[in-house]
Amino acid sequence: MPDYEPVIGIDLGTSYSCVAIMEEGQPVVIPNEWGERTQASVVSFLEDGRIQVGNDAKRRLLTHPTQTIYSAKRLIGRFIFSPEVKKAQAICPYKILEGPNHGLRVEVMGEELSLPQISALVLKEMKEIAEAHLGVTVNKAVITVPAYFNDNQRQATADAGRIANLEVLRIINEPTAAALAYGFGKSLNERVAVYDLGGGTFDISVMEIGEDTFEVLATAGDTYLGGDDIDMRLMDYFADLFMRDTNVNLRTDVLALQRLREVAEETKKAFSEKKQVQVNVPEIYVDEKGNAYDLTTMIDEKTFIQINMDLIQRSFKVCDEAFQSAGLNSSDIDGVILVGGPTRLPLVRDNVEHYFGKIPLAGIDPDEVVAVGAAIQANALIDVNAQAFLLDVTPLSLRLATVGGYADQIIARNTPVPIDRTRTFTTSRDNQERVKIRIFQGESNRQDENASLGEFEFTGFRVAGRGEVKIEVTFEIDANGIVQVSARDPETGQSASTTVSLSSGLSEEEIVKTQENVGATEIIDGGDGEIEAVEE
Amino acid sequence: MADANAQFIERIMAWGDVLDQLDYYQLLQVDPKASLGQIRKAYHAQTRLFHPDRYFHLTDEKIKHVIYRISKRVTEAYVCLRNPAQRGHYDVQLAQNERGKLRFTEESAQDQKKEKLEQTGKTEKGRQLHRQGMAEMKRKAFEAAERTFKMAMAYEPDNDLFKKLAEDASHSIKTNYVVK
Repeated sequence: MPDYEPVIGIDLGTSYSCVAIMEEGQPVVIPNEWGERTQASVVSFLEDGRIQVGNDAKRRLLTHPTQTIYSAKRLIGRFIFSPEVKKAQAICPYKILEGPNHGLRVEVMGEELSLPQISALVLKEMKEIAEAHLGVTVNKAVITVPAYFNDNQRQATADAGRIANLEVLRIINEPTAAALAYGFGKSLNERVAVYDLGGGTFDISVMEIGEDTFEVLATAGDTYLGGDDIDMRLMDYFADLFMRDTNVNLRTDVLALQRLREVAEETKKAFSEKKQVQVNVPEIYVDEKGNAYDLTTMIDEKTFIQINMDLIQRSFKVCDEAFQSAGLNSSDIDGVILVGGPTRLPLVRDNVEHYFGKIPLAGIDPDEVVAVGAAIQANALIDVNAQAFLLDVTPLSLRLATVGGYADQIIARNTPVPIDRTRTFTTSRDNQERVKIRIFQGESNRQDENASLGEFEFTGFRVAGRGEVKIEVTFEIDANGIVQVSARDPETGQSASTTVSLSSGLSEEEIVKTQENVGATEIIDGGDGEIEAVEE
Repeated sequence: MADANAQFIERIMAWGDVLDQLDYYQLLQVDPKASLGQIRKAYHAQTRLFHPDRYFHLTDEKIKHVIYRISKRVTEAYVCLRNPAQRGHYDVQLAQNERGKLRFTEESAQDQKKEKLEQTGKTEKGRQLHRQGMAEMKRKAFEAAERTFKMAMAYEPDNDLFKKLAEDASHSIKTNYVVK
């Protein structure tokens, strides 16, 4: 038994989660008490107040659709007006409401819960699975996120860890974790591409492995593209078919939709091995007169490919972007690592092989490789003899609001992290006491086309005439990809105090209390203290 | 960790003390004429030495903070030097060693561009109007600037820069507003 306490690696997925740990120098995936190695990221609330998490909870999707929350990761760290949220509101049987600062809440049996709270329940389950296996308490974890997650989504994931009583040692990117699992301890000198098509998100990372360093050359992604989309295409296909045959619209029936979702997922999975799949859902719909209708059809691979081809093609557009950023061609790599359940599909594998001109690397479990990488990183942090140095990048450009609705780039995307940049500002009014800045992440020079990370207000600097006080603002992206902003007066060296508002995240209080309706983050009235950049 | 001994920590602290006096080449410990490949190799070597994860187990927050500062600066050096255009600007900045500035900033690149612009113009009159227009832009007298740049275009109809500046000035008239 090592003399330090255990640290687990958790792959918190959109559809499934997985937990792993290093044991005697080897990473092992920890199964639950039924021997299941991945757990559905589903949380179901029971009438008696108990909460079920994982594969049992997933079975309740059909029977208790409004109190069973799935795909929380698609919503975490997002604002109410994001297109993903609008889509989820249309198709999810559970209620998605607006929370403070345009954030989100889900309503379950009259109670409003934040997304980090839901994810915390999944993390807690993973922690308990590890504890049952190890026989000791687990307090520390490394958690993975999609490489393309923005600061809000990373913060919210870190919040979820804290709510689950886990000290999150590090948030690492899923493709980076996968590369670590592949290359750790092998002293490789290879350039690899990690093609990560998960349940809800797609990431591509181009990486250079040099013995113990794992350098990300470029990353790109689409947080709206995943296996769920394939399920939805199949649901649409079945619903249209049913409409044509029976003139009944299954989309308006919550229970029928859930059964459609289930059969769509099963059908998709079956195409990993089969050329055609027989679909049979008895009594999917019963009309007022009590007549039952079955959904029965045979779908072949050709049709399956046809209805999903554009989704896969979208992923290669994203790949092009990453290669362009890295200054490389898709053929400039030594190997392709496939991550995520959907990459088992010939639809994906064949196209990946075609795009990269290479057969994807064999012997890597696409469902477990990310958790394994997280466990290796967790171990490397605490074990002084294990060395693995991740050199990751920020996936999105960090921007600062300027006059006229523009957003000025401060740190470009694909810049290695951790890194900081300093900008100097000056007061624009006499006796100004506050300086406010708003920051964004994204690739547009228009504010409203980027994700807002929040508004930072600085106070506590000298008060003097306009233009006389300089404030040095440092923007930092840490190793977790999380943005930190601080300010100081360069003349006195004194730090200014910082207030963050208009951010989608939970306040400190909310996290500690793990409760709702704590209105801690008040919106500061806009208008005063407009700032401008000082010219050198 | 074997090399996280007192002597090594002393060395790291010494690096921390002089961090602001090191230029990017010194940070990466490469020759100013180093090739891109050598710079990458040096970045990896320095990363192995200063990666914060390597010292995660240390309990002294002060030492960890210094290591973190160094690692960020090493990354900054790599980001600048791996980009030929930025490296070019940085080399000019170093050569001028203006106010002992050793960190690359977007502003310093812009300054250099500005200087270049100020010398622009093929004709004496064009250059003069260009200077005048730039001064008007700075004063936010955008309407005057637009007139001046258009005048400059009369002397140098093929000067794309004048054309662009005239457009910029015109754009600024439309978008510039004062926030109360």
